[in-house]
Amino acid sequence: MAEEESENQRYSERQKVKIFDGEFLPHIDAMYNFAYRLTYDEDDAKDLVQETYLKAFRFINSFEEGTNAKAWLFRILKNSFINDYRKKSKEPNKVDYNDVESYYNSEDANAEITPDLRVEALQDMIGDEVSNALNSLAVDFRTVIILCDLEGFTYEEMAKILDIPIGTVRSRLHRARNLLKEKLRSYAQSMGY
Amino acid sequence: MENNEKTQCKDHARCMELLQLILDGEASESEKEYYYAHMEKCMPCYKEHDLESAIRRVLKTNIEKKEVPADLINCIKSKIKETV
Repeated sequence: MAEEESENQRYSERQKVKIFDGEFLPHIDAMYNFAYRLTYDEDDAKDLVQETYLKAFRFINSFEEGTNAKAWLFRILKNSFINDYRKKSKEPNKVDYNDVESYYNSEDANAEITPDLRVEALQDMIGDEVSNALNSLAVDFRTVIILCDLEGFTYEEMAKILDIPIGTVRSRLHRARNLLKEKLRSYAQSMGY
Repeated sequence: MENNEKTQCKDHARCMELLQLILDGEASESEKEYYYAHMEKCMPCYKEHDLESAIRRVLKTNIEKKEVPADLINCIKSKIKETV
């Protein structure tokens, strides 16, 4: 790259399109599903994905070709969601992370894990039941499970996407999983296990 | 029969933290070795490993994927063309 080129003009128009089509668009499936799981609404999900891709194109010069495009895009999507959608959404649950941390560090964390949820019960659950359990979690907890279990991001990638320390990723995931397990357990009970 | 299997884990909280790391692919080799050896002798930790693995499997395979709206890519592309 020529020396006089500033950071702002890193790519030519042709290169931009190439990166956009080659590195960004292939993630549209995961992006749309992430957006849908955050908003629960097909139209909102569509708008959110579109907005994210437009932003990604506008700020494409801050993306380094060949690096983790998926994590970069997910971060933009998550920020757009927080700034534009979360405000207007009805969801009232704001998570108090002090509670989360103290939970995580307390001895009670030990006591609560008594798994009468059985593997067989899980295996008989259909997608709807699992989706409902996941969707019933507060958005911050839902998000870490989506990123980790559905999308396979590492803790480090999640920390970057969410702008939180890795330790917080871990504790939030831990708490999210216990909450999810509770939900699944009550489904299993209602199914007669 | 189960006399030589532990039915209570003295260090369950720590084990559960380890288990999360292992299943999330974030544990070191020695942490994995420790847990796998431990769970052979510890019933609660063995069961948790089973259950936690099953939850991850179910999340990955049973949750329905939404199909991307057919016109979304074209929408995005035409909006970008307007801006260029």
